[in-house]
Amino acid sequence: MPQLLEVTEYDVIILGTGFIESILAGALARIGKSVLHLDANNFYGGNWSSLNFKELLEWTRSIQGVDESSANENSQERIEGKKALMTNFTKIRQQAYSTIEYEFYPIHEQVDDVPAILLKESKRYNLDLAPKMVPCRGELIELLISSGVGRYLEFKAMDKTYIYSADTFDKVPCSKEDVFTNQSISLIEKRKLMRFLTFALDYTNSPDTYKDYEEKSFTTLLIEKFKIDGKLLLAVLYTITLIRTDANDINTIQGLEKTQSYLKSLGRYGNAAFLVGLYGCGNEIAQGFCRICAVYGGIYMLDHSVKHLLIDENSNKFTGLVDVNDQQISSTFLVSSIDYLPPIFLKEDEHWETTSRAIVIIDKFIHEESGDASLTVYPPETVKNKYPVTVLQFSAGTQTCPEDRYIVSDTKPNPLFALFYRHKKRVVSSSEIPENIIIASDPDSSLDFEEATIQARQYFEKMCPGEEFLPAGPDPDDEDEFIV
Amino acid sequence: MHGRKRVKPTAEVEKLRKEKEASKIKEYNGIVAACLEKKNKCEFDNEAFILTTKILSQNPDFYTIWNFRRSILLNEISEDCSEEEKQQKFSSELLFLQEVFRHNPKSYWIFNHRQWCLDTMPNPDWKSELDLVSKMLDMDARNFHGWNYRRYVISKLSCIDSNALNLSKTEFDFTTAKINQNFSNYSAWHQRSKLLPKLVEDEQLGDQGKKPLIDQEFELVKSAFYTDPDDQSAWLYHWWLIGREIRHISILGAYYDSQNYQIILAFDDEIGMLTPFQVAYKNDTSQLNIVEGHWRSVSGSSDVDRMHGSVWIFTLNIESGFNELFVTVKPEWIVPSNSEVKLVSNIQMHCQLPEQNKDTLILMPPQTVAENTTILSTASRFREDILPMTMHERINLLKREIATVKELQEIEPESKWCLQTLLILLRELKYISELNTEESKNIDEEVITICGQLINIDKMRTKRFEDLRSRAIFETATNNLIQVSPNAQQEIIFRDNRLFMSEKSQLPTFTLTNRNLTIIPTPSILLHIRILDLSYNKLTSTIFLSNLIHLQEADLRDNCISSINGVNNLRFLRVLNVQSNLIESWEAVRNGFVKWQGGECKVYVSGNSFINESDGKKLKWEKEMDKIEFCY
Repeated sequence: MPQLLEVTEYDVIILGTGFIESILAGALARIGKSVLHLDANNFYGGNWSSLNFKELLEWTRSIQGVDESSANENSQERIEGKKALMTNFTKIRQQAYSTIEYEFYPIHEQVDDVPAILLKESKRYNLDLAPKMVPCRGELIELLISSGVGRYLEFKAMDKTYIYSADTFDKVPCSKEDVFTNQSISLIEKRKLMRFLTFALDYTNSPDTYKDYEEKSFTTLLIEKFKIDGKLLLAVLYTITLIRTDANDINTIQGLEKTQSYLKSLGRYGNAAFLVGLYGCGNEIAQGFCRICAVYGGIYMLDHSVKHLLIDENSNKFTGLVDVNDQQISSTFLVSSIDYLPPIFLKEDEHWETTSRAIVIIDKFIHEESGDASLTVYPPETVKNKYPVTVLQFSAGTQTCPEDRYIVSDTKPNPLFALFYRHKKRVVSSSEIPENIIIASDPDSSLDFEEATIQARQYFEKMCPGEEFLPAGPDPDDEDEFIV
Repeated sequence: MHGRKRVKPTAEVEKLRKEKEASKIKEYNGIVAACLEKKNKCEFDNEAFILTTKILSQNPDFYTIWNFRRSILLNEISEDCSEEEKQQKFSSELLFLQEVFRHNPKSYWIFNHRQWCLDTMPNPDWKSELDLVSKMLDMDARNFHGWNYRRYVISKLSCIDSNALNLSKTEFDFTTAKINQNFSNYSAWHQRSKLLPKLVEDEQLGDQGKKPLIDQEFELVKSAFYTDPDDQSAWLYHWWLIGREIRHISILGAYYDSQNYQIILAFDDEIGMLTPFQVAYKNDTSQLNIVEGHWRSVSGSSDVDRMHGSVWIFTLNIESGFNELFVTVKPEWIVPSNSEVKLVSNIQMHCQLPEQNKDTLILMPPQTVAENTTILSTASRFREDILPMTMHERINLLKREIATVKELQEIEPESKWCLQTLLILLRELKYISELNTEESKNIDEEVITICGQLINIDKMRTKRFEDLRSRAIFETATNNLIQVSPNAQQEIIFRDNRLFMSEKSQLPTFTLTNRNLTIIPTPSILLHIRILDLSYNKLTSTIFLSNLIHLQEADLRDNCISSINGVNNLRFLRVLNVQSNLIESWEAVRNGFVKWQGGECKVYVSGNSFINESDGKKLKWEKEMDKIEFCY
């Protein structure tokens, strides 16, 4: 007999435990809202999750899987006078991915059963579906600190960045100390770079320097005003500002904003601009916020899918849902990942932002002495690529894989396993959707959680105007302060 | 702790806090009083020891208490106390210090006491001290107390470690690591400057092996100042690497004035006289006799001042009975004006007196007397402590560094450290390049330009750079008055002594007007000059004139002089023009002529703020100085 919920009325039902949904879950429970948080997966994190090796294979097969329920698409029922829209988690989730395929590679002749080896050590992998980093200064880190969620998490500094050109990798000097110790750039280049970095850190105070370039591209500013060119130009464009598109597409102000936020991230946690999560990033952070939600009374059910969303036809408002056990649960608001939306809300669109991703398990470091985590950027046109390719490499020190295994998103040393897929950031047409359904976005192509964090905050402010967003929670070390 | 809301304390909470504090202060004062009483009574007991612990835990800067604590400890170990017990006692003392250090990592007294403990205890563990100080510097790499202490520990370790060189190498690598973490670290660079001379002591290196090591240092420091030209610490290390060569003090000329029975001695820098220079004569019997008399410098107004200056006069107590004169100056008899200049050898001056004196002034050529030959043979070696090099190598090094810094200066025209480094490099280059060459002239020109830039950039130090510029301008202008001494390459003498000695129809003249001169750096070079024109400059004082003992006319119009001094001994002065200066009172003029030694002299004073046309007559003649005519 399935276990039914005792309480069937909530302030908010949240579908999916992705990054944005989880922040909202924590924030809403924190201010006293009753929250029911469901996930159709048997793991946390949704499309932002980190999976062990076995889970990754299962997940891949489920994405590849043939859809059997097409007959019921867009079917509408009526339940208790409400419009009941059928959901189709598996199918909708498939829309976020395409051209997914994986392969095992035999590395040595004597080791022929690579899959068996990887499956054996499966639990020691935490493979991010949408790998990201946390800037040392920014929206997310401040939220982790102010809310206390940071206490549940562990991070390592990502302090090595490399850039690829003409078959070689150069270590990119990102901070003053890097510039000083870097052997691959000339003294004059050191000076030019430092001039630019010093200016960019505080660019708003010297508007005369860039005012003639405001209408021009960021590249023009670097070349004309700061005489930065060649490899150094590529390094600034693609590894400091971490532009994910063609550099000519961003203007001076955008470039300066990105550079500044990068520079501000330096020096806070050692000589690194980014942190990477131990045991994977997206999943761990999402769970941290879920924990806050649970502490403040939120109810969690994983591996629990939804059959119908109920909409009041007169008011076009969401009123509740029917879950896998045919139990009706009602709430004032619904926060949902796109995966749980009825197919009629979602039309596949070729303009969705698409990121090509690969998860590769290799047998040695890409760069010697690159440490536990490193970032490597291939600027456009270096490997016949239109857009920059970013490679995040993790090793055992980040608790994402066993020793002697490294996870990357591109390959050079011997691969053992590679999974390739395209990851789409779906956009939902909003006119038909009831206004009390809040839709949490898919992961974007950026390397951080900044936009997603801002989005979570904005949704919260829309749902609960005037309420404080994730005030400091209970200190686990200080039980006296524990007030619910 | 992050993420905690700061709650503004209410008046009630504030009051409670103050009350709590007051009781704490009262308690502390009580302990201090009790402790000091024990100290006064010389009660070195355990109770006193506990009191010092309480006080020092709260206030480690109370050095009286540390002293008392040491007395107690010494008292305890003097009584029949085994080595083991002593060791135990000091070990726990070191633990106590570690605890106190945690709260106050920058107290001199904690380090002082720690050193005392280690020096006093039977078996100090220097290796663990090194680990401790490494941890300290990991916490704060710029705590100079830590670095200081580290040097102390290393010096102890090097006494017991047979491989001291290896220790220097590991220490050197330690500074490299700290500099790589953050090169804005004066202490780390300083430590490096202490270690580098030890590293090159490695006998196996040889001069050829030292060069790559030193070049590597130049590369490192270059990388630092190219990365951040505003960071002074790297520049200072660069300056140290370049080094400053000691400049030789020269005697420009020496003369015997047979009419006034005086010897005149002109140095190229101010010196202080510790021991009077020896004057001796030979008479017909060829016996060397010491001449009685007294030395005084011509500068200054008080007797104390007269023991300091660049032009010196010896007045003989005897007036006849000799036909040869000798003067000896030894380095140990003088005090140089600063640490960068030095008299390197004994100098002797000598002249014979003709039967019938045609000239009143007889030249006494200075001769360098080297007491040991090593001084001469190493004279052309530079930077002995890290990389001995020949003059040629030195010039190449300086030129290489000038080129590097200039390249940076082109990108960073406003960088004051860059410009100042160029000044230092150019000064060093000038010092070893030949006098009166096109090159030395170009160096002066460049120095003048750079000073001009620095005057505009570094407003806080305008005067300093104006003085430096004046020096360069003056040196260029006086180049033709001096030449390299035939005795020693690094010394200079007057080029033409006849200018001074004979009464020519054409009087020796020196003109340098409208050049923004703020000082006359070496007035002794102008010893010969009789007609001087320094009008339209920014001179603030006339004191340098005292060195120009044959001066007849001085034009100092349009300067920034506020009072007259240094002229009352100028016996030949006939005209002094101080028109349009900043003299504000009649007193400031008149005081300059108190005890006037000369004859009739015209002093032009109009254009100064104290002159009021209506009372001009009153100024014209003053009874006590009837030889001075004040004119408009």
